[in-house]
Amino acid sequence: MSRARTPQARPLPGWLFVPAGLALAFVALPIAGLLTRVPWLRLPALLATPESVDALALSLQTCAASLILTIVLGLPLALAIARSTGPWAAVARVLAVLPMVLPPVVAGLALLVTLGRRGLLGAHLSAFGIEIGFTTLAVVIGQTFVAMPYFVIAVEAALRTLDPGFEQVAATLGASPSRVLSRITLPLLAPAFVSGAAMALARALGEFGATLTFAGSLQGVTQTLPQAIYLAREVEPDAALALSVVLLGLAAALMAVSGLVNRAASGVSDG
Amino acid sequence: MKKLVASLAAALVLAGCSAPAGTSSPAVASGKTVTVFAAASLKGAFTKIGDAFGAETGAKVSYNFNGSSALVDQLLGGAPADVFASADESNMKKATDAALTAGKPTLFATNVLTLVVAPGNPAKITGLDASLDGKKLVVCAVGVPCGNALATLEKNLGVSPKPVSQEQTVTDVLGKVTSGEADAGVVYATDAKSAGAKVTAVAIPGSEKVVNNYPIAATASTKDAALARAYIDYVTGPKGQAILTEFGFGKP
Amino acid sequence: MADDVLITAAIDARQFDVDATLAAGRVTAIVGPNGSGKSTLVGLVSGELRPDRGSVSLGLRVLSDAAAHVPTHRRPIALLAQRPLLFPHLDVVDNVAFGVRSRGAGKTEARERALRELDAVGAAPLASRRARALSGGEAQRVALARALATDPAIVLLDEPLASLDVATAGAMRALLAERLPACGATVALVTHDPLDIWTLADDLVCLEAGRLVESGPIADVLARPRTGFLADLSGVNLLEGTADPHDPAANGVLVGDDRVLGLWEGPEDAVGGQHVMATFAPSAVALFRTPPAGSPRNTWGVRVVDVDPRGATVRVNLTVANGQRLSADLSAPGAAALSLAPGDQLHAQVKATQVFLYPRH
Repeated sequence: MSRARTPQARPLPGWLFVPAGLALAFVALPIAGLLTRVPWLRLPALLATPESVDALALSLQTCAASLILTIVLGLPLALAIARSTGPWAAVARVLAVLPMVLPPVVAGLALLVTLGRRGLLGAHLSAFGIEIGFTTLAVVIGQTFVAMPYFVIAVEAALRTLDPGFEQVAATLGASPSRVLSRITLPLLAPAFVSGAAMALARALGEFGATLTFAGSLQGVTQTLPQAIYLAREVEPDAALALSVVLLGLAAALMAVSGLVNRAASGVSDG
Repeated sequence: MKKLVASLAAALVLAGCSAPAGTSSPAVASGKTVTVFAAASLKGAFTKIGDAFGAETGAKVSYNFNGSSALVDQLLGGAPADVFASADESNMKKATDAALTAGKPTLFATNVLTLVVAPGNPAKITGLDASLDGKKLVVCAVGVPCGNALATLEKNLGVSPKPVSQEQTVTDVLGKVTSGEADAGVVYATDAKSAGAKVTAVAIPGSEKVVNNYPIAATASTKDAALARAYIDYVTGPKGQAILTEFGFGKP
Repeated sequence: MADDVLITAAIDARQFDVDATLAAGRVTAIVGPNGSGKSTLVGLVSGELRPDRGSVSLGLRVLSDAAAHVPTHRRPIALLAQRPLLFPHLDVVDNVAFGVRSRGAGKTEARERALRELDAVGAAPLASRRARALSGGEAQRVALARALATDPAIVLLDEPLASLDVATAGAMRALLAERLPACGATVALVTHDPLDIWTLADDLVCLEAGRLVESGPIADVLARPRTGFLADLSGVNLLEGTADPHDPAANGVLVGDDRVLGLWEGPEDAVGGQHVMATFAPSAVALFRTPPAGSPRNTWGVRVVDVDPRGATVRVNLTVANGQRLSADLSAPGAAALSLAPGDQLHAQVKATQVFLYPRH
């Protein structure tokens, strides 16, 4: 609150704005360049093709599913690793975020050799007639694999900076661990929860490598937005640009949500 | 920025100098470099051709292997190349239409589609027929050259198999078969050959009628038209053709 | 309804080994230097810590021992810490009702109980405010209401006034003085402030280095402090020595080579060689540049450590020959006349009638 009224409280040296401007241009220019090439007038027609509609619908459905998986599995994981100590917790912490820094194709290969028909688990599943490859489930698994770390890391960081006093006081007031979690911890984590979920959703939307390697590409089944863009690049470059705009818009909206929530949350702790 | 380009160029020149040049025959083009943009499916054959051409002429051949359409995009963007070899005529047409090539393209190789299955063909697949029922078939997407060729073939044969995935590249199709995810895939004969023992090729009856032609042309921007011509002649000549055959390509 | 809280517990990792009792329905001040084990004691009662050996019990009910450990949320306790720690996502009345709800009350019942408690601490008008919209003093008031609304058998106050400004702390202290006896709980009050002790506490437990060094009713413990920490707390000088073996009754205490004479207050006559404490007020100490002549026989060589002006008086911190500390409060003009500087060698004199001698336990 007070920050807004006293913008000069911590002035920055003027020269800093030169490299800062360069950095912004560095990321903004390619996006601007993309936007200049978009056939804006034909955009509705390009997006109305069955390929585009199917890809968009599939992306939204799979991302919704992977977001639910991410939250249902990622939240307990974030809680567990944030509150655990010792070497195993450290290992778990590294493992939990590893897919974030894994090249997308490596993520795909890893899923393939694990869940593929001849994979570690996939071979056993296959024996029961369950085959994940080439199914929409494979897309959801791939998205969850790469997106969950973004959620886990956001929630875990918030958990570790959370004042332990709130939970201690709640316990002295007779709240069981489950009640402390649901009534105190989770509400206090809400901003990180929302911004982490937005980050994870954005990442899932953009998921490409794992889907390419593991799920295949079939319209309406496994062909998500990025897959459709990649294919359209060869066939109909304008359609690729049109779909890129959609993806860009969704990603920007999600990042804005994440940023707003973070700002609101830090404003609260200022006040 | 200029400085960066200059040092990159210097590095390339140095790399060119240190590369093994021809030793026995007189070096007619010693020290020169011909830059070839070639379709990814040509990688094996062209690498060998480049070595042979270099040994004979003393020229260094520098390759950029990529998807044909990506190569056209790069040429459109002003990438420096002397020769462009496409995996299909439509991408070559894009290049010629944009006046990126010098002279008429020459066909130098052909490729046909084939089925690839797990080694030994345990699923007993016989072609694009009922033997594929209940099997996982992976093909190229319509729009990419191998997918377009398949569409023509399916029309000729009057069949419409149901694939589980339509991949962007032949490599992805092959990968799905070699990893065991798919039971069968439709790829080019050259891809089946390069995969060696990891797959068994099952010829598709009628595929010989859907031939994919590989055109080659010098670029309009080449700095050394004579060297570009020499390279193209080598590819279309008996020695180049022998190497292409060795890698599974057909005669034009 | 109140019961004694008995703590006979050791935690090796914290080098803590204490046997202490918090008397039923009374307020026991827990004092001691930093790191002496006050928080450990609170943690043992709250259930956050479990003893390696021994037990913590409330009356006959064992809260912690080798066999069992009642978790924090099942203990009939309440905690008020230095920070109010109101839940920022709840409004004031929901904060206060939280504990009541947690202990099984229905929504309406909990709300009524919360409103009553808010009224008792004078915070009823704040009921519908967001917790984060309160001032520090208001928040601490609400936190007290929240703690007491669960009708705890034990109330743990961990420096509840330490983060409040002087005026707010005064109002809060008055509120505690009113509410603590009324709630009937057994109360532990961790504090550094003598004012808290005198106004709020009935008994005192003093810890040093994880050991109990003194306990008992406030008046007894602070009137005759037996540790330097307690002497500081009660604002008196404390010298430790041994009773003169030749004539303990007449010749007083030997502190190194110095002799300290005073009024013997021991329950029995002093025995030669006995460990004896001597206390006297800083205002009873007079300082001289040259050895004074005359009647008082309590004259010792001292060395000035530092000089600390405090308005009309000047506190002079000194050491005697064997290194023990004492302080003298001089009038500002008197101090100026001596023109004191650290390191000066002086003579300190105290009338024997102003020195109290008593045995250490």
